[in-house]
Amino acid sequence: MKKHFLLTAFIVLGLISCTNEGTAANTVASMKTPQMENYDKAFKSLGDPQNRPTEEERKRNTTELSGRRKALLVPASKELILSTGVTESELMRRTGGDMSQIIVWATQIYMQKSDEIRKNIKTEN
Amino acid sequence: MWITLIYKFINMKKLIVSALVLCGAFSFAQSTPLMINNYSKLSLEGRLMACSRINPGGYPVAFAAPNPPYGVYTVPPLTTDVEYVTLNTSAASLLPILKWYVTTAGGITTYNYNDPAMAGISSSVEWAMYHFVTKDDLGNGVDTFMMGNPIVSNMAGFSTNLYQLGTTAEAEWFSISGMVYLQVYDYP
Repeated sequence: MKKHFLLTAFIVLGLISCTNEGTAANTVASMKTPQMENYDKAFKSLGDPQNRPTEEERKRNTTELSGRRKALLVPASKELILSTGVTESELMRRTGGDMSQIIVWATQIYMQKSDEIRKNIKTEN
Repeated sequence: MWITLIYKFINMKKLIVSALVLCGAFSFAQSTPLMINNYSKLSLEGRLMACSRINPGGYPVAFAAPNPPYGVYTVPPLTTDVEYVTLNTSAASLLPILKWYVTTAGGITTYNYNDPAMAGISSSVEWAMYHFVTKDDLGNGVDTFMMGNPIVSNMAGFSTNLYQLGTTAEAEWFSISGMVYLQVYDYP
């Protein structure tokens, strides 16, 4: 009898923790800033039919994303960097306008912000 | 007598591993972050691997242990922003990797991600491959993908693709200034 009670208690606890995990995951998405969402959308858009790698791009002997497809990521990346208070001139000075540097910098900011959101949710729970 | 022999053997193995790791550390290879974005409704289940671009056999070859609670390394459906900055910080990711199975000429060793040896291993390897099966919500396998950097994965004997189209998903592996991305989209 006691065993059953304990078992039920553990199952209930397990279910509750699983539900919480779901809400936490949902909240990370809902707490992203509009600039983070646009950065997300830009990366996802690389899979849109018109943005897929062309036959020529696939034949290149490099893993580096093509210039055409990098250009699709730049506007949202810039927007994300500027949203942290960095000025346009500072951005140009630090990256020299290089697409790769802008995108990688935005990725670092994006991950930092996601981590912060995740930590905040953890402390709130 | 036997004990000293075994002891010597273990020491030899350690020596070989350290020598290999040092070789890697002094080479030009450097580890860079990996970002996985699974935009598809499918779960990705398989083997994530990093290896050396220059050492024969790709040694050290590191395979990710299954991320809890899965039985194989798994990226659930619609899961993005999965980043591994280095192998020895892999527990800090959204999908934590707690152990690595590392193959060298001396054999296979299981290391915790934060084992002191992992820092050297991490700096001597590059992200090479994610060989996975896409599975639908019923757990049925749909397609097999061999994604990775062919030049690096070939060192460990694996042929990989930068772009692959399946029946319900497409996947691509690319880099931007050293940072490596693996993205999977629903198709068509």
